[in-house]
Amino acid sequence: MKVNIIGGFLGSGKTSTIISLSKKLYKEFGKKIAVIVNEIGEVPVDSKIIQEYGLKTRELGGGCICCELNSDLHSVLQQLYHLFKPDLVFLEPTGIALPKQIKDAVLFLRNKIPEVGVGYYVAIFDALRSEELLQEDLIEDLDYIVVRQLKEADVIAINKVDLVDEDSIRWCEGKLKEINPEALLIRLSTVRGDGLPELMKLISPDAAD
Amino acid sequence: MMSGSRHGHGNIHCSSISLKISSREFVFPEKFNEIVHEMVKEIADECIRRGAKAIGHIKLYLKTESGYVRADTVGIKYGVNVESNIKKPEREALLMINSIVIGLNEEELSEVTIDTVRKVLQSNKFFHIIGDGE
Repeated sequence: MKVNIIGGFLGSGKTSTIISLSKKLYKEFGKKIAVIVNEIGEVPVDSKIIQEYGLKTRELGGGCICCELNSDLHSVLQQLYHLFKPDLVFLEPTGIALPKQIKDAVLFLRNKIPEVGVGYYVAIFDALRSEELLQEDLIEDLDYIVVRQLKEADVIAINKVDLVDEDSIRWCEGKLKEINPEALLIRLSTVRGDGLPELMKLISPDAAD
Repeated sequence: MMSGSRHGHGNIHCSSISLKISSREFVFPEKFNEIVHEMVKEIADECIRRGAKAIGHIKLYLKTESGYVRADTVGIKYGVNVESNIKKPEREALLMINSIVIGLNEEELSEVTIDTVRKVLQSNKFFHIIGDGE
């Protein structure tokens, strides 16, 4: 059971990415997928949308797993492992969660269940909103969250590339490389399907063969 | 009649509502799309009018017997996305909204979300609230 974190700022397209990846991995490769959704609000909008696509979800609502719901995440992952034994778990944190704490929480669970593997932290980045989110004088709270999310990512998927021009994507790639030179950059469009095969290959190498 | 909750994280706040709505007449799928578009846009507009620094994410889910509509925005200038698969005219729906906004206090955000939903439902006068959602 490999846990991949699909994070990124509010509205970047985390839910749509998880739906697209899960559909392909299940339909084309028979992978058993579970999704854990953590929302800031108590109303599970993302979870309901994911369920519309026939996917199993568990909700962690009313707080943030990176700071308040760590123990809840442990018990949900344990339950999933014992009852459902998925091949892959997609964990969708809130759009303001910081990745390191979440990764640490999953790593901690490995002490209890060695079969739990930690996959990638993929930060979804909204190309349409890149100028706003990457500007020098971004609102203080946002600047901290956005930069930390990008800095700590293994992979940055630049989403909505179907809605912006080539120059904007290149500008965005340059800025993201400055923030996190180590991260792999992928151009993504869940509408057109760009980048999904690359993401799949990373997340589930055997499925992409 | 409306279940709602508020949450915050630094200067970022969230207001959630969940309710059941009903209409005397059947509502066509296209009309549902128009109504949810209007709700999301009006919430975003009103938050900015009241001094919010930015829209984080306003997302809506409306479920009927024959399908659902989802709508969301990350800011007025980016427009509102609406995706629907409601197949036939319906009279009842479950409506859920999470408004996540930067720089507007929780009370005000909650007020904007609830008041806007009421206003839009009233302006499309065939709707009324019949109870809390899930």
